[in-house]
Amino acid sequence: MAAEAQTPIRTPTPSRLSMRLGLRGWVYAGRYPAERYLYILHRLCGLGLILYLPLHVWVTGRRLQGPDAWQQTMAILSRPVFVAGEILVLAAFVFHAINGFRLLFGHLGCALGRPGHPVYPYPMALHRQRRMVVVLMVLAGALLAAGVWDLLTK
Amino acid sequence: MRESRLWALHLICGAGLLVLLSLHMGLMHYAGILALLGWAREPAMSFSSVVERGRGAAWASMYVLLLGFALYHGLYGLRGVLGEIWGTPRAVRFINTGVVIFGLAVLVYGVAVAVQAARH
Repeated sequence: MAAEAQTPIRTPTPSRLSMRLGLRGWVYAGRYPAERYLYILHRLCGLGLILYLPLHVWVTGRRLQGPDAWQQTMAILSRPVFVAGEILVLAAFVFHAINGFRLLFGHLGCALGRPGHPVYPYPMALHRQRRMVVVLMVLAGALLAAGVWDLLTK
Repeated sequence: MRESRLWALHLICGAGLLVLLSLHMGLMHYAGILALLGWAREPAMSFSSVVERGRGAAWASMYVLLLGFALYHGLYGLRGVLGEIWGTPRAVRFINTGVVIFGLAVLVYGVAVAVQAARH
């Protein structure tokens, strides 16, 4: 009886659940709406950007070693593999910024609609935001296309 | 209370990043479009342009602020993700310490670069 009382109750918190699901828990959100998948992509892009940041700071610091060192670094960065990496960074930034704007908007309670009576089928704030999501993702696509065009026509 | 303050700071840094990083990325990655509009002359990545941008206290301050925002926002996010995977108190302490040391190291190097570039 005493041993039973000491046993902690392990509820399946989201973190434990995602650990049990492994990588699948990270990329598969079941039948959740599209915004859940945007959130997963938001986190992945954020992780990529924070891992890239120290490298970017180091590259920026190369200018202190003079024009030759800078040109040498730029020559390395103009190789196709680095250009592809730059496009990925640009895509991650554009998506993370636009989706982050949406999340921040939501946190501040904007564009969620006015509260109403809980009448079935229950209206969800996400449904009210759906049009904004579509507009913002189109904007992100356009900005990315412009950035890639700029990068490839340098 | 402490966590909610850290979270609020994460959001504030995110909002600051939206402004500063958009400006930075606009100058770097949309220079061709800016040139088409007549707002930029030299290539953004030429040595003279880079040196010119880094010179002066205003640009240096902007870069330091940008780096600070990016490091806090990014490392807070990384801490959250790692904390979800390894949630034991010992692991959380280790993650917190690692994130702070890493962030300070990158910040110190970045500030040194910005200050030296401003004096160039």
